[in-house]
This record gives sequence, C-alpha cells and structure tokens, in this order.
Amino acid sequence: MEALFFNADAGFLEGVVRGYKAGLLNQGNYNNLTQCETLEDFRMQLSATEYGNFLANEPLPISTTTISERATRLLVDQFNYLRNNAVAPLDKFLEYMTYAYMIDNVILIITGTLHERDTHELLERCHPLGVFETLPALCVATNVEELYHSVLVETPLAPYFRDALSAADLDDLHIEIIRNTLYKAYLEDFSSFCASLGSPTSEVMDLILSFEADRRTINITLNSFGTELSKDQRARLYPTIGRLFPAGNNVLAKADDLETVRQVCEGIPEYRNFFEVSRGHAAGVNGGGDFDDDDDDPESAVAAALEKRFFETEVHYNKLAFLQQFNYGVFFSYVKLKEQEIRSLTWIAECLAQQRRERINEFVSLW
Amino acid sequence: MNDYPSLFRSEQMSLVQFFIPREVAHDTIAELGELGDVQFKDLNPDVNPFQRSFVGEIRRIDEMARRVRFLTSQINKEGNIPIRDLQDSVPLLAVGPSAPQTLDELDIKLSEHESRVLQMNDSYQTLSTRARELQEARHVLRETAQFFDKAQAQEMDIRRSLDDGTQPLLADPDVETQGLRDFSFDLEFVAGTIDRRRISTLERILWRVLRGNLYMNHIDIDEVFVDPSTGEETRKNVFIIFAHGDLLLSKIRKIAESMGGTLYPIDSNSERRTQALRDVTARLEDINIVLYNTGTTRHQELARIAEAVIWTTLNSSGMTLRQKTLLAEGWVPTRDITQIQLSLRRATVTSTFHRTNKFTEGFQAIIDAYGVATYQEVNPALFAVVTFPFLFAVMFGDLGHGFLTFCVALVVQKIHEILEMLFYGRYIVLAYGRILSLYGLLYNDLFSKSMRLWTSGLGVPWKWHSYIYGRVYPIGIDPAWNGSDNALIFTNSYKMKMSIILGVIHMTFATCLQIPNHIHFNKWSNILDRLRSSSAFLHSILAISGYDRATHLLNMLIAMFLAIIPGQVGVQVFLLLLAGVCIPWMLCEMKRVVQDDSNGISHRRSLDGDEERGEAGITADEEHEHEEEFSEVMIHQAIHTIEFCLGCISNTASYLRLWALSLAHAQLSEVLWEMTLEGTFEIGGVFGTIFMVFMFGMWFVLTIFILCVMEGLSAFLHALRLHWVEANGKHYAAEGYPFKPLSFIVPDEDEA
Repeated sequence: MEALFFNADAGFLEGVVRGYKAGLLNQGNYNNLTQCETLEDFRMQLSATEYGNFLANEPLPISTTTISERATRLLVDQFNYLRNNAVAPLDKFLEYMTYAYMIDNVILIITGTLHERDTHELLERCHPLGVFETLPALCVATNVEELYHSVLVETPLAPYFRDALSAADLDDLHIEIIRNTLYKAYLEDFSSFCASLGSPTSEVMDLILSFEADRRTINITLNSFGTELSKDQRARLYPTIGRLFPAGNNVLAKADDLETVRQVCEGIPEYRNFFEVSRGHAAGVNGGGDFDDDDDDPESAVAAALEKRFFETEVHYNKLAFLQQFNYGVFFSYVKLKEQEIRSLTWIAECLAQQRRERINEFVSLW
Repeated sequence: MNDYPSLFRSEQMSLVQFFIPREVAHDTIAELGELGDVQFKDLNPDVNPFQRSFVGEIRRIDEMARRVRFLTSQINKEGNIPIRDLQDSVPLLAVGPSAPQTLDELDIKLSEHESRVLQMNDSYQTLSTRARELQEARHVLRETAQFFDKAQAQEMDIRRSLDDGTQPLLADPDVETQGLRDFSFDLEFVAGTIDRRRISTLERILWRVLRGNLYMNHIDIDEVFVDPSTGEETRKNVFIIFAHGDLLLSKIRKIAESMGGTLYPIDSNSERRTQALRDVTARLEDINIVLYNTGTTRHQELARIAEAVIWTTLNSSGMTLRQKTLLAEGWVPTRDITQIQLSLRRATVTSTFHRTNKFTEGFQAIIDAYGVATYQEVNPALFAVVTFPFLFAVMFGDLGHGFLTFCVALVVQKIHEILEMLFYGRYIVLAYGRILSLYGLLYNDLFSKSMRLWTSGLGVPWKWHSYIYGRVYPIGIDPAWNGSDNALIFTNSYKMKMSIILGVIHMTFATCLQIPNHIHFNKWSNILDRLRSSSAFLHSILAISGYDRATHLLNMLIAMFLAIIPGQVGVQVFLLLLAGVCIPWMLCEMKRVVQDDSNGISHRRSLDGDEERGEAGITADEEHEHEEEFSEVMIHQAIHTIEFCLGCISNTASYLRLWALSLAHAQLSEVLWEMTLEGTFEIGGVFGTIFMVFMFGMWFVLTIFILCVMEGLSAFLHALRLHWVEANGKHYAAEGYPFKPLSFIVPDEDEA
C-alpha cells in the first residue's frame, strides 16, 4: 500500500536523488583520478564528471581543503534542495539526518572551547548540515547542565541530552561520553522513527542503522581499553539496537581484550572478516586524510584495517538501499555515499599534494 | 556519381590525413576551423585527456579564461564601466608565427592585472570594513546616548513606580530602565551591534544564561550596511545589555561575539560619550576620504583593465575554441605516428553530410530525427519534401484552413520560443498551406462548406427524387454531396479507398528506393532477390484488395482470407497462394544473400590475413566464427521475414489513418460550424448581429486553435509516423552518424 501513494509525495525527490546517485564517480573516474600527476590534472579530470567546473573559479594553486569544502558545498546544496522540497514525513526524516551532524558540531565546539580555540575558527570547521542558530553560544558553557539549560534546551537534541546530564565536568573523557550518549539516544530515536514509517523504509534503514550502532559499539569497546571508563559506564553507552544487541553487547560490556571483540563479531556473518588482517600488506585507512604511519604495532594495524572495513561495509549497506524502491533510505544512503566519495577525493588530492602516490589507491571506491 | 551536391545522397566524403609539423599545427587547425569544413577524429580514444600532448596549453588557457572571468565579474560589479564591443577592438593575433608570443604576453598581462586588482580589492575591503565599524560605533554611541537621556528623563516616573518591581522584567521597557535609577551608573553594560536576524536568538540565549535577569534594549539601525566583498546587504541593530559582575559580563561578551556581533566600548559618562562620538565622527570622515580615494583609483584601474579585458573577452570566444583546437591538434599529429592501416580501418565508417538549404532543412531534420542516413544511402528527405506535406494534406484538406496555414507561414517571425520552432519549420508549413488548399479544392471543402464553382452534376429537383444529370463535376467532389444524408457514406468509402491506394503507392515507392541503394553499393543480386520476393508478396496481397469493388474495404480484406466473396475465388486463391509461396521464397533468398555476403567477407579477410602474414589457424577460427554468425543471421532473417509479412498487412491498414483523420477533420469542422455560426443566421435584428459577431469570434478562435493547431499537430504526427515506420522501414538503413566539422562559428555565445 505504501507504494501506492509514495510517488505522490516523494516520487519527484526520489527521482532527483537517484539522478544524483547516477552522478557519483565510478571506478573508471577513480582510475583516471589516481593517474593524475598534479592537482591541476585532478581538477581537469573532475571537470569531466558530475562535479563540472566547481573548481573553475578557484585561483591556483588549489588546496585540498578547498576541494573538500567545495565538494561538501555541492552536497549541502543538493541536500538543502531535497529538504526544501520535502513534505511530511520525508522532511522529518531528512531533519533526523541532520541531527547526527548537529551532535558532531556540538561536540566540536565544546572540545574546541575546552582547548581554548577561537570560536569563529571552530564555527568554520562545523559541518554545514549541522549548523543551528544557537550553536555559537555553546562556547560559554563550562558544564553540561549549563550547556543544556542555556542552549540545547531549544534544539532538537534536547531529549538526547537527558541521559548525558549526569556527566559532571567537561573534560576530554566526559565529552567522549557525552558524544556517545547523544549518539546512542539519537540512533535509538531515529531507528524508532524509521520503524514508524512502515515497511520498505524501516527495513532498509534498519539494516543501515543497525550497522551504525554495531560499529559504534565495537568502537567504544576498543577505545575504552586502558582508559578509566568503567565497564558499567561502558555498557550504558551501547546503543540498544543493532545486530549485536543484546547478547553481543552483554559480552562486549565485559570484554577486556581484542580477542573477545573478535569472538563476538564471529557471530554475525557480515562482520566476520572485520578483524582479519592480512599480514604483509599493512592495510591503510582513508580517514579524513590523516597520515599516521604507525602501522608497526599490530593493535593499530587491526584498528586501521577495521576502520577501512567499516567504511566498506557502510558503503555496501548504503548501496543496498538503492535496490529497493519506495523507501526513504535512498536519501540517507545518497548522502552517506557522497560523503564517502568526498572522503575518497580528499584522500586522492592529499596524496597528490603530498607526493605520496604509493598510497593513492587506499581509498574506498563506491562502485 | 555526380559532383553537384544533391539531397538524393549524402555528399561524397574523402578521408584526408594531415601530416602537420608540430610548430604549425595550431595555425593549420585554426585555419581549418575558420573554414568549418573538416571533422576531426579522435585517433587515440583510449588515451586519457590529461595524457594528451597539448594539455599544458589547454590548462594555461583555462587559467587565463578564469582570470578573464574574474576581471569581468569585478568590472560588472563596479558597474558603469563600458566594455568596448568585441568587434571594435583589434583582434588578437591568434594565428601566425607570433601567436605563442602574443599568448604569453596576454597571460602575463592578465596575471598582472589580476594581482593588482586583488591587492586593491584587499585594501579597499579593509578600509571599508574599518569605515563600517566606525559607522556602527557612531550608531551605537548615538543610540545609547539617546537611551541614557531617556532614562534620565524617566527617572522620576521610575521612582514612583518602584512598588511595581514584581512585574516581569523583560516585558516593559520602562521597567528595564529600573536599574538606572542610580545615576552614578555603577551598573555595567555591554553595547554593540548585531545582525537583525540574530537579535531574537541572542535575546533568548542571554535570557537563559542570565536566568531571566536580562536587561536588554535594542534599536534598529535604519542604514543598510553593504559588505564590500560580496555586495550583500545587512541590516543591524544596536543593543545594550546591562549586567552585574565580571563573570556575567564576560559571558555576555563571549556570546555576543560568537553570534557575530561587534562590541564597542562605551563609557557611561555622558561627556566622555559625546567626546568619543566626536572622535569617531572625525575618524570616520578621514577614513571616508581615504576610502573615496582608493575607490576612485580602483575604479580607474578597473576601467583600464576593462580595455584589456575587451581584447581578451574578444578572445574568450576564440579562447574556448582554441581549447578545442588544441585538443584537435592532439589528434592530428598522432596520425603521423599511428599506423595508417589502423586509421584507415577506423575511417571506414564515414560520416554523413547532406547539404541543405533553408527549404530542405526542415525535412532533413524530420528524417534525421528517425536516424541519420548511412553514408551515401538514398536520402528519404528528398522525397519527404513532396510526400510529407501531401500525406499531411490528405488528412487535413480544407481550402480555408489551408489558406490560414499558408498565411501563417508567410508572416511567422522569431518572437517566442514556440514560434521559433514554427519559424524553423516555416517552409514545411508553407508547403502544407499550398497542398492543403489543393486538397481542399479536391474535397470541395471551405471551412466545411462546399463551393459551387461549377454546376453540380447531381441535382435534387424534387424532394424525394434525386436526378443524375450525366455530367461529371470537373474538379473534386460534387458540392451536391454536402449536407446530403448519404454524404458520410460516400466520402467514407471514397477516402478509404484513396488512402489505401496512396498507401500502396507510397510503400511501393519506398520499397523501390532499395534499387538505387543496391545499385550504388554494387549489390545486384539483392535487387533481384530481396526486391522481387518482397514486392511480389506485397502486391499479391494488395492486388487481392484492389480486385474487389465493394464499398467496404476493411470487410473485404477480412473476407479475402475467408474467401467468402463469390465469383472471385479462383483469382483470389491464386493470389493468396502466390503470397503464401512468397514467404518461404523471401526467407530462402535472404539466406542465400547472406551466405554470399559472408563468403565475400571471409574471402576478403583471408586476403588481409595474407598481407599481415597471418597464420593458417586464423582462417580456421574464422570459419568457425562464420558458422556461428551464419546461424545468428538466419534467425535474424527469419524474424525479419515474418516482420515484413505481418508488416505488409499492418502497414497497409496503417494508411487507413489517412482516411480516419481526414474524416475526423471534416466532421469536426462541420460540427464547429453548426454549433457556432449556423444558428446565428436565423436570428435577425440588432441582437442577432451582435450575437453573430460574437459567435464569429468564437468560431474563428476555435478554428485556429482546435482545427488548425491541434488537428494540425495530430496530422503532423501521423504523417511523421507514416514516413518513419511505413516508408522508411522499407528501405532506409539509417546507420550513419552526422558530420560535425570543427568550426569557430559558435551559434550562441553568451556564457554566464
């Protein structure tokens, strides 16, 4: 039944988003890009793609930040177009998507303020999708309660903060805890919202959000080793959705080493290869373009490989969303895929700029 | 065949190879581009664009184009700087021995200009920002002064209303000033300006941060501030916030600043305030003078650059083109390197080029929309010039409508987008108009009324007895039919038969057009086999149809296969058998032809193999390949045969649309006449006249829009289909690709 009226409300936008998706770079484009010698070549290659001449008016030399900024700008413009044309309940869905960026921005501002960075500089670094009116005022807060009462109470994030209020002071550990609490609440809320949307959307989104939740759970567990975070606290940060929930989460809550995490992941066929590190080739990650070369100790090699696997799996799940029609998942997936593409582009550009061509192929390509 | 360009076949093409030394490649290509008569082929399609030999130059020109764009945008923003017209300026020498030099000079000049403009923009911007800040400061000073003055004046009232301190603090401005009752002003405050849109957010946050104890006042600044770099307009508000305690003040400051506000130090002492105001005003004047000076120099510089930009914009048309040129260059010299054989093999598919004029252009476009002719194939567009308007007119024939169409074609101008399309096809419309009038005469229709140009051959002297005079009406349908009871039956049968006859002629003609093709491509055997069998089938079927004189053709077609018409069974059975025989015949002939063809190919291929010193194994492989190919072709031909047989019947039936549409058109125009104008003749008097005028307007408008435009489009569509499917399907391979020569004449050159 949902297919009957889907096109009346969201058919146009679905068409638009599928058109956008058709404009994503394919393997051939990436091959061309990786063969570039300089960033000018890079720009020329991109001008033949969907990106067009988005860099045409930038004076030489181009910096990688400009490239990623411009590309993100394109994505944001597209997203805003979708959002401006959306009607209920798609508009709510799209709004939910921005909450994740809001959380990131909030955390970014708090952390920045904690380390006494310039507020304006921080604001520039915020993701444009997650900017809200009162965001700048976050810089005055010194504890969570004040944060909540002065600023966040009127944002959509307010309900998520209820669990985080217990954290007393703002230091790095607590900010991490706040971030994860917020994310947990957000994922659960988003998931229940998607469930309320009915069949195809909820199915597609369930897959994606479950993975997202599991990824966070695993990351929290791995990152908490050797910190003062108690197991009790840790267990409270795990999202209560996902494929590892509840049994896997219970085991993870008590985990002390990598081996346990690996065993938990064995239970899910899709997650089984997360921890397989092929010796001999140190798998790199395409994080946001950072060059950490400490692949020497096995722990970080595993972490690096894991990160890449996560990205690949995310891409895989997001691609699945496009196989079904009449669902809102495509909107979510498109944004995620485009983000991944921008990450890949930035990585390639970074490799070119830093003359590190040997690592140029370590990006996650979409098709 | 013939040297004179004709529309019958596409022009003969020659494959030319240029061996151009690298140094003069650019000039050569530029010349050729001016000529606009050469299509270049990409000989290295596998090579990445940035690996080609001339990327560097292209990139440099890109960069130059960017600079030109930047300068032009700056000039546009400044406004009122005239850019000289392209034509007026001396064209930059892009060709010739000095071309690279001029290019270098241009490049250097452009980059110089750019850096200078950038610098000036910078200084202009800093200056204007400072000026703006001062302006804002002045506003803040002025407003706060007013505010304090007011507060002072209200002092007495406040004293009296002290008891009301329980009122909500934020709501009333009078209450807000409560804190000022002490005129020593020990209460501290923050003042500044902020974007008007953010004022409510600021207020909300501050209210929450200060736990409701907010004393804030804000006033709109009427002046609009313009951002010098983006040209955006912002409206700002002056705000003043009172608070107590350093911690709170610093918090307020921080919030206000992070929200994009600008704070100004204001003293609470009124004398010092006026002093500061005077200071600021003086400084503002200074800055304004400097700013003005900078502005004028910038203006001058830009005006000077405008000069330069002209002759670069002049070339920005040339420049974009030169990019192409350089790309083309990339291919041409590679011809030197790549084997001639390779290029020859690639060149075997030749592009098709029909030289058209403004008359044939439209018809050629109709045919090209179906498919571009294979090189040197018979071009149906030539015949469409006649048949297209003709078939259209069969469906549409009416003298009056024809005259209207004719007039439209004569006066149509390029005014609107839709009209532009009409303008493009004005010669088609003109041809329509002419033939429509002719057909109107044949149908004897003038806006659904018939004309008595001659005496009718049929008469109705008494009411119930018609009488045939024994004369035949000279042209077209006898006007006596008009309005008679059996008119519809008569015209129906008349038009139906006519459309079938026209259809058969049209299809036969189209089938026969295969002959010149086969002759031209030296496939003599095809003529005999394919044509003989297919036309035999076609005509045996059609002959049966033509044999019968019954009124109802459709019934007859059905009856033919059921053989229910007595007396003609013998002939019909023979024809039917002939048709039946034709099917396997066609199939076999095609098979044989294909076999011949493939043998020929393998023969040729093995010759090639010899030349290339190929091993014997190749031939064996090829044999195998051929067998597979052959079976595939067999299936293909079988399908083709069946399609043809079914097509013969369905296509013939398809021509019945000529009848259907012309009938519909005639009926519609008649109905329109009856519903609007006819009744008005009976009403007399003033009212009758007015009513008639009104009805005439309605009738005319409906005639134009429904009968001419709407029906015209539908008739056009059907004529299009008859040409594309029924006629072109018989002979037109349409496997070519259009000729796109490199040309510097860009049709519309206004880039954003």
